[in-house]
Amino acid sequence: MVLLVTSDNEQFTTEKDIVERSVLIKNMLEDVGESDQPIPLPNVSSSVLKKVLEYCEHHRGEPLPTADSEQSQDETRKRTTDISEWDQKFITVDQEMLFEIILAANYLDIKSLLDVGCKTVANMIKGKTPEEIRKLFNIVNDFTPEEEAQIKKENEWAEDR
Amino acid sequence: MDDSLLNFGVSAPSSLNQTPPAITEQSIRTRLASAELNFIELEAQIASAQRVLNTLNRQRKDDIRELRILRAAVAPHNKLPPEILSEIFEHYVDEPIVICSKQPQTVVSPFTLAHVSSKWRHIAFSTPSLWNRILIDCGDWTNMDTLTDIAHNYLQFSGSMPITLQTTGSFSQPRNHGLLDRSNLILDLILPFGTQIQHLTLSFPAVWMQNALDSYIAGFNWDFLESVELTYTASQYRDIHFSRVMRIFGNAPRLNKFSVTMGPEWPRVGTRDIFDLPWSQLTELHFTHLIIPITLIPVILRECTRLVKCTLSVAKEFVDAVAPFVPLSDLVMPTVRSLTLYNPMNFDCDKYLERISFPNLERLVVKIGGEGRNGRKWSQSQFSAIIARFGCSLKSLSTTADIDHADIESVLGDVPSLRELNVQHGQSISSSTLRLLCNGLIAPNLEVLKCIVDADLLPDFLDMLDCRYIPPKYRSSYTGIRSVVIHCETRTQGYRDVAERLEEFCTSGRDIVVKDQWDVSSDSFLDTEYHPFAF
Repeated sequence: MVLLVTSDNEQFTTEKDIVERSVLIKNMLEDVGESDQPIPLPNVSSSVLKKVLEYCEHHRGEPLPTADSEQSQDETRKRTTDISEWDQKFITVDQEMLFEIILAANYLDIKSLLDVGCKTVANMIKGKTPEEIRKLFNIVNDFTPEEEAQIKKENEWAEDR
Repeated sequence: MDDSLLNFGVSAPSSLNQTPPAITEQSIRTRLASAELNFIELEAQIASAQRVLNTLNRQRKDDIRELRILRAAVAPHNKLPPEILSEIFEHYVDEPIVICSKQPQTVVSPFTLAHVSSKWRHIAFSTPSLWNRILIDCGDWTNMDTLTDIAHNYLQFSGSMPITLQTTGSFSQPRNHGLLDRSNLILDLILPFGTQIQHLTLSFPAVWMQNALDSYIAGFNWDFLESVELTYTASQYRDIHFSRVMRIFGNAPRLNKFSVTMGPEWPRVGTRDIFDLPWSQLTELHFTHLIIPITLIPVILRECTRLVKCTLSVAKEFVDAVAPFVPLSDLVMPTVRSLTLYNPMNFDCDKYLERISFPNLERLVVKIGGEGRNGRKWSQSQFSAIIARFGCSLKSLSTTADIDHADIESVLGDVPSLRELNVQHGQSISSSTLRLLCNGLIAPNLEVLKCIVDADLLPDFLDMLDCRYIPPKYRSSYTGIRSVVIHCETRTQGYRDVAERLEEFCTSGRDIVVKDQWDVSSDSFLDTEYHPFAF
């Protein structure tokens, strides 16, 4: 069993093969060896870690990507926004939690979870105009007048068609 | 009209322009002076209120802007580092960017990302993989200059990334549109990025292909080029010669897939043409409707020592011209796993491959040319010959030839490794074959079956499927016959009798498609949508 401590000081005890889906934790455990020492996760809150562990538990036992396979699959992995049914349900959370999960997956180095998060955001953007994307994510239009002029030009290409 | 005027005895609009009595006039003037004063005061009050309102509106606008900035500063997405945003962008652009005359409004384009904010713009332009895959739909070529300009604007952000460039479009009146003049537009687009191109798919009228691609002959270096797919569509020119096209890709050290599909003009390769392709690198070579003299086929194949997938087409006149054809020597091609043959009618497709063996062939597709059903007829001896040659390791056989029911039985019986059989034309599978299948006496590994079934044999066919069905939870390496396409006459009583049972089969999770035997629009069986193997 492995003891994890979150940024808000909550403790989670979980099985090694579940938590080892995180390359970060796997490497830490290999470095430390057999130990009862808790692993601090200062960048992950308890609510987010709970979700991350739910994901790891569901995908427990699935082969982890090796460096070679990752390299060969990289192009394919990035070029699709398909998400499995379970993953879709899992990632149906509010925007704040979605981005927190992405950040946690990035920090903990869980490639497949990072993929699910990024694909979900990509799907949210698809079919939207820049203005709709700004509204969706609370983004301010902060273009300089020069950039605005360039954007106008870029839009003219589309109108020419 | 103002009611107060009525109090001065002015009763109708027409009397307004008449001089009132003196006493009335005085009274009106007094009232007028007072009203004007009131009006001026009211105007002043409104102006003052307007100034307050303007100040408040300005303040409100500033507050909204500040609120937006503050909200944006703590917005969840703002925490994402640029490398993750870049990864999200790559998922967003998951298909080649389509550039066409009639652009849909909600098109996926990296420019959409670049128009959101300064940060997104910077990240989008710093992610070259967003800009390196382009599909130009040339339509009727009328907007080619604009389309190539736009494509150039995308590709300029691709940095040093390998580029995928595809073109599609139809063209039927080349002379009216100055086709040849326009050919340089595509070349002007391709040439500056030529050394970066990894996948090149060109679909153009044959006449353009020939004229435009001629420009490449001067030893162009395709440093990254891995695959080339050329489709020659119809134009009004005949006598298209092909050899030069072969020459232009000679200098492509990474090329492993070369595919040519011909349109109705069918340019031909002459026996003395020079073929300059890096044959020994190729794992895929597809000549679909590109007519090659059969004497050249062994010469080419001899060079292709790494070939895995191959498509060949021959023409009857070439066969006649060189018959009897005697290949130089025996050739063994152990790497070839998939072979597709486009053959003229009534021609023994095995003949020109007589001394070439494919000991590890897993998938064979034989398409037979010729008009009408008789054109596709395959004799028993032809069929037996080809099965004898290729049957040893075959897992998948598809054909458009007319096949007798005896032939179907012999394939299923003689090729125990067979996992997929697609027979679109010919006779129905027979009751004796169904009995043998049912008892597992033939085709013990069959998983996918597409064939013609007579309406009165449908109940037996469904019984056979029941015998050979393995529910998913009991499946091991053999999955049972899990995918079936039945070609039958759907207007018959025999079909109506089993329609309900067929529906039950489908709802119980079995993959069964029924296509009317005479429905020519369903001629898609060679697409092998159920094909279980990763070719």
